[in-house]
Parts: sequence; C-alpha cells; structure tokens
Amino acid sequence: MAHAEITTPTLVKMMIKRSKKPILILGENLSKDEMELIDKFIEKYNLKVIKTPEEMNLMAIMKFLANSNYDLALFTGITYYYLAQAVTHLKQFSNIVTVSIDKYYQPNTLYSFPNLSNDEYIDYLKKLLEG
Amino acid sequence: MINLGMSYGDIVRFEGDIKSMTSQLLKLKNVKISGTIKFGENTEEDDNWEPMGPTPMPKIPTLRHWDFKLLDRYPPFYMPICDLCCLCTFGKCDLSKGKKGACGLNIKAQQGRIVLIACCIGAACHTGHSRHLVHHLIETLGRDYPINLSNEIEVEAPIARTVTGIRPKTLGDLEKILDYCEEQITHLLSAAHTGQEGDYLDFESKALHAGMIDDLAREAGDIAQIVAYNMPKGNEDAPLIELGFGCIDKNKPVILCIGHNVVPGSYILEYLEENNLEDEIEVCGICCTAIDITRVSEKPKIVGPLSRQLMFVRCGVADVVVIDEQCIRTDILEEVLKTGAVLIATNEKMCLGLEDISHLSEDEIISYLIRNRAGLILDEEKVGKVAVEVAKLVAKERKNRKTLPDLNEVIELAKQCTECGWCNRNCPNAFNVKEAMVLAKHGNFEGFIDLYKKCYGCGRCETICERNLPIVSMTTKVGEAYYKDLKFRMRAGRGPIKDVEIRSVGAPIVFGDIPGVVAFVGCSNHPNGEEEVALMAKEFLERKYIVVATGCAAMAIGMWKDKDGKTLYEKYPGEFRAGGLVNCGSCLSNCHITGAAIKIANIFAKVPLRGNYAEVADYILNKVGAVGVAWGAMSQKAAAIATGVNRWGIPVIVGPHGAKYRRLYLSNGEKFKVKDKTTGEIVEIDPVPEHLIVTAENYKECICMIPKLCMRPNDTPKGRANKIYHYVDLYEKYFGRMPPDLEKFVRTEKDIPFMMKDKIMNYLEEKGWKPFEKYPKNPTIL
Repeated sequence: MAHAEITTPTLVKMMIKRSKKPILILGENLSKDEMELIDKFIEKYNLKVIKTPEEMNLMAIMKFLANSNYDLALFTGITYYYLAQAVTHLKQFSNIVTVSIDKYYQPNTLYSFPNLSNDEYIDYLKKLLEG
Repeated sequence: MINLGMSYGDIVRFEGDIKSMTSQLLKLKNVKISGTIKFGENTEEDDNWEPMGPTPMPKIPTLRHWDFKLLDRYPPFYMPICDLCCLCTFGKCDLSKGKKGACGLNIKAQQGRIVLIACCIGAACHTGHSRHLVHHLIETLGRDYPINLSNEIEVEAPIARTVTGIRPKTLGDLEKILDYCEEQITHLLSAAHTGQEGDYLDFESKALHAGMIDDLAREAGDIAQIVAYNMPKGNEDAPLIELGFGCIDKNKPVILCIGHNVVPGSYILEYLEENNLEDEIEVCGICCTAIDITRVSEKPKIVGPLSRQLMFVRCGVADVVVIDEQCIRTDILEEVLKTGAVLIATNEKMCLGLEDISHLSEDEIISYLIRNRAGLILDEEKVGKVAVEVAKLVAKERKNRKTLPDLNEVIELAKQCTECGWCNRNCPNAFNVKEAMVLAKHGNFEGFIDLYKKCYGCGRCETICERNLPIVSMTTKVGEAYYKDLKFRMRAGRGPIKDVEIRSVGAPIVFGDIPGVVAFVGCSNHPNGEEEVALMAKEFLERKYIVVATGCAAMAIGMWKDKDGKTLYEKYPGEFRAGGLVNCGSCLSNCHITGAAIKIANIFAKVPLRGNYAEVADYILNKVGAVGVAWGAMSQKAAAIATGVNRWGIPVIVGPHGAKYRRLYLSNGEKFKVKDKTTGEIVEIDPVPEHLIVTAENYKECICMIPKLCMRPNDTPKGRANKIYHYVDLYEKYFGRMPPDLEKFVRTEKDIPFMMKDKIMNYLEEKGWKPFEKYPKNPTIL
C-alpha cells in the first residue's frame, strides 16, 4: 500500500461535505492559537469530536472507529509517532477514510497535510474556515 | 550389577538404565518385591509437599483453554508496522487489506507470528542468561548447593511451583526447570516457521506460553544468583546505592560494566576485595548489570539505565568497559576505542568479531589488551584480575584525555548545521534537536540543556546528519557543563517479597483497601526522559499504593529529587506495604512481582499452587488489584515479560512507543460475563480490569489509567470506593474534569466515596446510570 497522499484545505473541506458521518479525533498537542481555529472549524462543520486522551484512549478510539459507521476520520494534535502506529489498525482493518490535518505528514493515513511550519499550519487552518 | 541391601520401609536411591535394571530383576529367582518402587530423582518425601494439580509442566496446548478465555474477553488489537512478510523465498508478500501470502497467511496471523517471535527472543534471552548462571554456579558451588531464601520466605519459587510442580531445593533442581523452558522455546519458535500455525489466536496463545516460560526462567536465574552471591533476600532495608554520572569518581581508574550478567562483575569485585583495592578502583555499571553487582556489594555505583549508555561512554570516564549480554549498543567496540579505553567482551552472545583470548594466562591477556585494546574473554574468572590491572595501566595513559568537544567547539560545530531538520525527523521522539542547534549557533545552550534531560542517546540524529555533526557528544558536553548535581540514590534490589509481608497485605489488596499494587518496570525508551517514571511513582506512593520497580524503571525512579534533595528511595520505606517503594532488582527480578501475586493467592486465599496455573491466574485476574507500567518498554524481553504478566491475569500499561509492539489486548469496554463459583450462575460485571495491555499517550493518561486498571470484581464496596476516589481525584488533577467513563465502574451506590457523593451522584444521573442488581460473590472466568 502507498503512503498517504498529500492533501489541501480545499480538498479536506470537500471530503467533509461529501461524507455521511465525519468525526474529528483531537489531541492535546496544539497551541492556543491553533486550538482556537480548530474550535471554529468544529463549529462550522458541526463535527462530532472525541478528545484524546481526555475522553478516550486513542487505541480504544481506533477499535471503536473500525467497528462503527463513521466514514471519514480527521486527526490532529496527537503525538506524531503514536498516531502513525495507531492508525495502521484502520489502514488494514477498516474502510474508513482517514485524513491527518496536523502539521506533520502522517504516512499511514490515506490523506495528509504535508510537513508545515507553525505559520504555514495557521494559514492552512484559516483556509479550512474559508467559504 | 546392582547390589541392594534393604529392609522394609527403606527408601533407596539408585541410578541406572531402567531396561537393564528390570531385566536384571526379572532374571532373579525367588525374589519378592513389596511396597513401591518409584523411578525418578525425587524421594517420596520430596514429592508429597502438595498434591499435584492438573497442569504441571504444561505443553503448548495445555493452557490453551485459559488463553482463549482471556483472548475472548481481551481480543488482540493489531497495528501492523509493515504490510509485508519477507520471511521466506516465496515472498516478499503483500498482506495489506486482506490479501494472503504465498503460504496462505493473513496479516492478523502475521502480526501474531511476529509477536510470538519477539516473545521467544525475550524468553530465550532470559532462559539463556539463567542457564549460564546456573551452569556456572553449579560448576563453582556444586549441584547440591541449597536454595534457602531465609525463614521469612518459605514459598521460595511460586512460579516454579505453579508452572512445573517442582519445589526447587538445590541449584541442581533449577536445571530441570530450565530444561523444560528450553524444550518449550524450541517448540514455540518452530511454530513461527513457514506453513505452521495459521490462526492468530493460536499464535497469541503461543506468545502467552512463551511469556510464562520467560517468567519461569527468570525466577530460576534470580533465585540462583540470590543464593550463590548472597544477595538481599527480601530485605526491606537493602542499602542505598549511589546513582548518576555525578557519583563516579573520575580521579580513580574506572571500570564500567554494561549488560545483564552479574558473573564477570562479581569476579571484578572479588579481585578488588582480595587485593584490598576496593577504594582505589571505581566500579560502575549501566543497565541490569549495575543493579545486580550492587546487590552483591554496595560499593559499586550505578551510572544509570540504558538511556545513559552512549552518553557515558562518549564522555570517556571509563578506562575499561566490560560487556556481557543484552541491551548493549552493538557499536560499543567502535565507541569505546574512540575514547582510548579498552573493551572486554565476556559472553558468547556478543563476540563482536574479537579474538578469543580466553586460553591465555591473565598476564598474557593483560599484555594483549594493552596492545590491541579489545578482546573476548569467555573465562569470566580471569576478567577479575584482567579488568582491574588493565584499568590501572590504562588510566595513567588516558589521564586528562579529551573525548568530548569543548563548549566553544560545540558552538563552532552548531554553526555548520544547515537546519535541514532531519535530526528531528529521525529522532524516535521527534525532539527539537534542530532548534537546539540553532540556539547553540549563538552560544545559547538552552535547547541542548533541555535535550540532555530527555534524550536517551540513541544516536539516530547523528546517523542522518549530512554534516556528520556529533550531536550526542554535543548534548553530553552541555549536560556535563550545566548539570552539576547528577547524584542520586537507588535502594539495592531486594529480590522477593517476604511471605510475612504477603500475610499483612494480602487481605487489604484483595478487598481493595490498599488501592493497588503498581509495578514500574521495563526499559528506558521514555517519551520525555526518566523523570516522568519517578513522578508517576511519587503520585502513587503519596496515595498509599504499593509501588514496586525493577530494571531500568527502578533506576529511573531514583533519578528525581525533591526540594530537600531526597530521592523517592530515601523518602519511602522499602517494604511491600501501602506507601512502600520496593526495588525487586534487575530484569530477572520481575519474577518476584508475579511471584507476589501468586503468593497472595496461595498464602492469603489458600489456593493450591502445584501444577495449578489456570486456577491461580483466574484468582489473580479477579481478585488481585495490580497493574504493570512499562513506560519505556523497548525490547523483546519486555514484550515477553508483559505477555507473561498478562497470562497471569495482570494488566499492563506501556508508553506511546509501546504501540510499536504491534499488538495490544483491549476489551470492548462493555460489561464482562463471569461465573459465580458460589451459585454457578453466569453474571454480568463491570469491565474490570478493562484492558490487559494498553498504551497511554502521555504520563497524564497513564496516571489516570492506573487506578482504573487496579479495580477488580472482588473489591468490597469500601475498597472500590477507595479506588474510585483516586480515579476521580486524579482525573480532576490532570484533566480538570470527571472521568468520562466513571459510570461503568460504580456497581452500586455503596461504591461511591463518601466525600464525593453528591458530585458523583449528579454525574451518574446525567449519564443515566443504573446499579447492578446482581453481583457475583466469587467470580471466575473458568
């Protein structure tokens, strides 16, 4: 299987609009500015959110998603190498579309933002809010 | 020809070939034999210490029924690292998304197979190490050397008693245990061959078996070294040992021992003592060798866990480096030679292409090493004199030798950095190495200071650096310059838990009055430095849990000091009781942790041990509130240890890097079904313990999971209330909120801690909570 395809804010917005049941898995590792933008993004798209590890363990989330009818899972704010390993469960054992909208390229999701500097990431998050 | 002079009732021992003995007997005329003739090594007296249970010396399929019950409740959760299998020449085969390999294997079975191979490697390490110890000690002390762990430890080998049905009384008895272990490992590893096991659950059952064998082998090895080297036998006041770079006296010749095997180090200590050189030579150690030599003598010092290996070698303090086996850097020869020190390899597992000079006399070896700077000495007794005398010579010639860049040189090196950022990417923890470089260009070492605390010196940043910058050396130099107080203390490994301690705490643990036993174990692949392990231990010591530790985790716990400059080992007693901090010892000593759980079943609850694995494990799963935390688990040995612990019914939390083991055991978080032994009914209970092995992303999550994983069906309402109190209190402390799944663990209102009644009741009402109408008195999954 190939590694994640690079995606853009425009394409992510389109994926959310086309999905039947999207969900955002939100980690703790975002700065205050980044969190503010993510909060607005959640509100704009009325996304279901699970915060990890605060609300649920990431592995338990993966197990839950693999057996659920969510069709699109977005990820951000999670320890990079930890998510890279956890999401391989969905890669192999689920048909859910996985997208990393973090500032690190995630090889094991289906789609991912590229590596971004802090400023570039803020720009990407702002673009997610446009339109 | 066999001559017997016996009268009725005599017990006779003889050795011989059974066929020739019986045919001899049959040839005799007018011979009457009455009574019982038993063929075997044990006398009747030896054999009847307890009735034999159903499963002594279990083979691979013997405990499969138990494994399948565990796996039904905690199904394997796989996170494959690689889509491929490349083990045979039909491949490589793409197993992604349900595709089969050429042999028919699917990706789940392939993950189970890799887990089995990892557990076999770990079990083989511990069995090999224990075999080496037992073999060596039998050669020096004799097969009949007694196993006596003192009057306070009558159940000397709980794991051996339960698994094999053997109660070892001499070193020779340990050989039988290791024979069994080696036989099982052969069968287990063979199941990983192409075209063998095809079912992932059966691979997991075999992995669980390998884990159990690992536990058993470790017990044999640790018992052997405890009795032979007169190590502490459960002494709660084992001495405090100096730990840390700052403790090492650089003004003396320094011998550094790295690895796990105490034998070479013990000969060094013996030579020093016999020649009154103990105050003239500094002996120190890294990893479990350090722990074990300080169980032999309190004079050596501990540099630190595995995480400090490369940094300490690079700083060039050691004049002679003695390596044995396991967890040693495989480029140790190159690294030691760069510093001008001498390397002595002492174990067949790690020969490093060196010439075997074991056959030479000690003086010839010394000359050889001075000329050639490295050699392989498999006759460990010679290592004693050789290491010491070479250290004396080499120290003189290496005096004031520089092995690290100066701080000015660190700045000049940093200026060569092009800020490509690949060091960050290649770092297993994605630390800000580049950022440290950028600051250092301007003479600001803040980044490196921060890095020094957390970095475990794996060197992957250096490997990927296009400018070949010696990043680990730069970090080490800054650490040396800015951390002046790297002096800590660790209590020497005390070995087993005493039977009398179990009698005191058995009931409170089983009923939940002591909220839990937390065992910090495993390697040092920490996400954020050693201190987190100490802070987690501190949190639970303050809450009156029993905290035990082994190996690299035991050392990490010692590497934090409070505002009064005291380490946790100085603040908390070394007793196995509420608020006690017990260092059992090295990796081998992990057996005493499971041993304590087994002893609770036997000493407190009178569950018979002998050949009775499943009943004992079932007891532990349902009644002993214990959890293992392998925060930095890295190795195959750690995988085997965790899997072995799981088979006993004890859950484990691993750090975020533990996800790379590829397999967890997670329940679905819903109610469990158990049988009530009292009534025979199948009853639903709360999901406790929720998972058998799970990862935590950060130390906050780990801390909050610990009280939850210590909950058991057998908790009394008071005990459960105690555990729920800690769960809620910790969640509020670290996440500022109530635990989101609290309602799952409140069985009835009586489980709610009094001081939180209103808050929790309101929360439960919001969640639509309903109490259990029925709850088993005596739960079992058998």
